[in-house]
Amino acid sequence: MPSIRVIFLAAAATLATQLALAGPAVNPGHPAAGTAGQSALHSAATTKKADEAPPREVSEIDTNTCATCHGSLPETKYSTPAKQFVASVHADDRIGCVGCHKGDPRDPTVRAHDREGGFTPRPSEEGIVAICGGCHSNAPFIRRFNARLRTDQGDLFPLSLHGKLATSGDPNAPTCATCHGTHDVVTVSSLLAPTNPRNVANLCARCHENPELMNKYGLPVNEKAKWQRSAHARALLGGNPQAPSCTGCHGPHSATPPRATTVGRVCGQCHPDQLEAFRQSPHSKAYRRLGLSECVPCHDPHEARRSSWDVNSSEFVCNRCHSKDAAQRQVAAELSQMVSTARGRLVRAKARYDALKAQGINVHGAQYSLDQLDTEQQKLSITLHSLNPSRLRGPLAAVMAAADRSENIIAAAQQERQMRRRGYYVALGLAITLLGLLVAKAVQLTRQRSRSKA
Amino acid sequence: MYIGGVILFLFATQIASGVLLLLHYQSSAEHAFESVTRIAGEYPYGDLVRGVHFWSGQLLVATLLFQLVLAMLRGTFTAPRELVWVSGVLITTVAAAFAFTGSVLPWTEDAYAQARVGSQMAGYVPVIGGTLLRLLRGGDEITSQTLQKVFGFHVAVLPASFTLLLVLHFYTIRSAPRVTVNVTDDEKIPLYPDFFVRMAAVIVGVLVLVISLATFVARPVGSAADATAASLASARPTWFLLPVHALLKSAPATLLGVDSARFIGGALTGLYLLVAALPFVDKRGSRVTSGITCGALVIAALLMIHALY
Repeated sequence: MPSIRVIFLAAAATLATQLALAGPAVNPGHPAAGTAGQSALHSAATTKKADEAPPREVSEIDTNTCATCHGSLPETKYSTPAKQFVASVHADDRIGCVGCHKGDPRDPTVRAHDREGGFTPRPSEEGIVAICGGCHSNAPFIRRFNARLRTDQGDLFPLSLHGKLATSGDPNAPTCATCHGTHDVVTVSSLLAPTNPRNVANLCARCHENPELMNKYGLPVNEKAKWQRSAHARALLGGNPQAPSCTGCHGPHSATPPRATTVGRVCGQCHPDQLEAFRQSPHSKAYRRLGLSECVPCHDPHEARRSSWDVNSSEFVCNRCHSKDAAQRQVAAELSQMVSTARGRLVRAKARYDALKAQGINVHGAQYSLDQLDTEQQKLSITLHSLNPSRLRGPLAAVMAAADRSENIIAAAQQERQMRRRGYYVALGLAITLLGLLVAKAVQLTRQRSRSKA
Repeated sequence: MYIGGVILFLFATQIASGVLLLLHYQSSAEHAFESVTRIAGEYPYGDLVRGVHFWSGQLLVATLLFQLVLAMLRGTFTAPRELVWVSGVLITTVAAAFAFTGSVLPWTEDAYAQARVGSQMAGYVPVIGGTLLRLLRGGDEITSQTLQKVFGFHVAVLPASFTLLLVLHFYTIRSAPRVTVNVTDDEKIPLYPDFFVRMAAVIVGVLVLVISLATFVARPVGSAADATAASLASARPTWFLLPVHALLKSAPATLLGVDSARFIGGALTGLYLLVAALPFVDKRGSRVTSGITCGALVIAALLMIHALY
């Protein structure tokens, strides 16, 4: 039965398109049509060619007739792609199935599936890069859909380690579809996209947590686990879209681990003040001499978070290198003292404020003053990267002043509250006295009454 | 007599503290919570006034319920005091409505849940339930309109009804002679000074209780209402609706082939009407009524405990 249905559908589709137009040759200007295939990974040439022959316009001929049959075929391996495509970001008549698979949909029975005529049922990994690059490296074409979409993927990907592996013919190397999917591609900003910043760590981990695979390249498998514990993960998943997951630092298409000489610049993109302060520290020169990264000795790149400044803790950051250097330890102790003083003030002010709030008291202006205190505290943390106690004195004084301001506001509210409470106690005392007098009077009256009766 | 005095005093306290709150409260959904936090945190003695208003309201409901139960146990509702009884039941109903609407006004997360649960219960009343629900919510759903409606009821409709009912109640008491309470000549005391002093002592005692509760029981304002965050699963209504809540929660999906919520709503409405019409059903104030009342009290207490744990 299904075969009869297929033939009927195919015939109907053919008739429909033939009736609609005996138009020009299919896909004359589709960017992927002409150049794809040969120079797969170096697709810059594609862009030029496509410029000369502008992408085609929407017309009746573009109606995606492939889906007419494939959408209702009983074999899921044929129907699922058609169904997925309709929901994908590529569901557009200017792209259609032929955008990637080629073939001629106007003649579904023969020419559509003619491999001689260019029909590609399963593009090779190389072919996929060429197909995607055919449109995505073509700025004039892409801007018809979305002027903000980037078009540098084709240039960047060959530079990445993934791209280099792919060029060398490594079957494990990921290409476009490995990460983005095939028929079901959705926009990266969609939470459904595996490439969305909130999901991408899981996507990378599909390979990078596979010990068998990573062993071949001598790569560790614990980066995702480390990142999960980082301040970055907490910030990103806590709602700060600016915080980085894998792609935030490694770049999505040029995935390459930063080197010792460049890691500072990567971190400095978001933490410029810390980098600037660090470059004025004694460590800066020493690290360069020793060939160390700027940030990594103190902050694990994947498990990036605040280092411990608690001298008594086993995790005390300076102990990693200076556990036996008396002079450096003295400076470290001094810095640690300053840091813990500042943090202690912040914690105490916040605790007092929270305690007051729990009592239902809104302290006007206290939240703002606490935010100010937090800002000053952050400035201190930034200056800390200079590792110079004399430079820290100014920010520390600012923290103290801000903490004093907050605590004054909170203390004033507390005092007022206490005064009011005293008023309540007075009122209560008066009422109780009155009650006592009334009870005494009532008792006296009752006694009088019973005595007179007697 | 003393209970009547306490009720009058509590109602007067409600009016006085309520007017003070009304001077600062804003009834729009955007500003309600903020204005309540300002009352509680910034205005001098705002939290005291708020506490007094809340606690005297709760005590008012409790006292009214107590008086109703007492009358049922003693059988003092019979003719010629039917109207006293009926107006008393209505007064208690209005007081309960006061407490419910009042709990919604701060427009906190808790208040939102209260509004939801409470209006839902009203929706289960047979025949007029749907209308009642829409009347309370100002639409099918809880919106800023709900707050405006509830506010209107709380400060205008209910106070007016309560006052009129009180007038009716005291008028009927005066015109109907006391029936059952046996007072021997020995126990009779002159109105002044004896009774006057005793009444004053009781009222000042209640005042001490109210101020103590307002001063020593911390009642944080809570957090602002958020329709999306309010966890309705754990939402509980005001204490006197807890037995109903427990019934609704623990009942099976259907009872005798009817949706259980509607069934319970119907049954409780019937029970309410029966209680309101008690003097016409039980004309003698029989022991059966007292017995059933005792049983109902025990069941209500058990349901309340069930709702809390």
